[in-house]
Amino acid sequence: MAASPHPEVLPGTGVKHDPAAQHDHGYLVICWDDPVNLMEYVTHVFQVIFGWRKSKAETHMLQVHTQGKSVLTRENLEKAEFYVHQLQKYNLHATMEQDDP
Amino acid sequence: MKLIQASKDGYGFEFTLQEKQLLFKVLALYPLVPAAHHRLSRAVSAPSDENQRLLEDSLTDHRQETRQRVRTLMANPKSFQARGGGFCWHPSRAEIEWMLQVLNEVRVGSWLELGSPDLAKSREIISTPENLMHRWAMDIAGGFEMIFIAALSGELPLQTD
Repeated sequence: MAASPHPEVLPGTGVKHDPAAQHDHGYLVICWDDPVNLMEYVTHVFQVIFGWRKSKAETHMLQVHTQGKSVLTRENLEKAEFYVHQLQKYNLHATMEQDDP
Repeated sequence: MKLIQASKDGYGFEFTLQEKQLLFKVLALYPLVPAAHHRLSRAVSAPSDENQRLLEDSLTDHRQETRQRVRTLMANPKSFQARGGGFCWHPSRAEIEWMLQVLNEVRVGSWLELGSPDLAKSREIISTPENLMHRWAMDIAGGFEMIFIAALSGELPLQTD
């Protein structure tokens, strides 16, 4: 495979938010399983958005496929929103969930 | 459909007339996924409804821009240039990424129109005149996705003759 692609966009330009809603614990960006997105497609999207090597992207894709979900990253509110937005532009089933303290 | 160029300057794909017509029929279905389909969170408490609304607004804007871009691509004869009985498209890497988003929107939207069936049990999907287009679009969109991903990853062989 060719070298891993670079992210086409940078964090920090995503959905606006209320700063008062931020807190210390952070948010988990989660990709959930669905029957429609192709495995190769999911792997590709992870590589593009997070800049991961193919092997790491495949590991997370298989986790989604076999365990129903994969935690992709843990970020503050703003970055988590950004990544969820990017994943949803590709129509992956992604959400952000508040991390347990 | 052939890959005829793959370099840092961009890519080149050669389509037969039938392949171009297939692609355009899929693209013409865009958009299919409702704006409220995506949720920012599964949790009830946070993030706020305001953040969910902002996400939907942002996705709606993205979809409107994309719909206009799809129309422009399909209407402009320079996008797919006639060559030797076929058609050539010369996208950048970013344009292929955009095309993947469009194709997968149609694939996921068609799946939603079919009632979100478990595709591993495709026998459970009963073909009807009403859903035939969505079954077809879902499969064709997925096929084009696989080709473009293979091209981007360097796994699709060049065919320059």
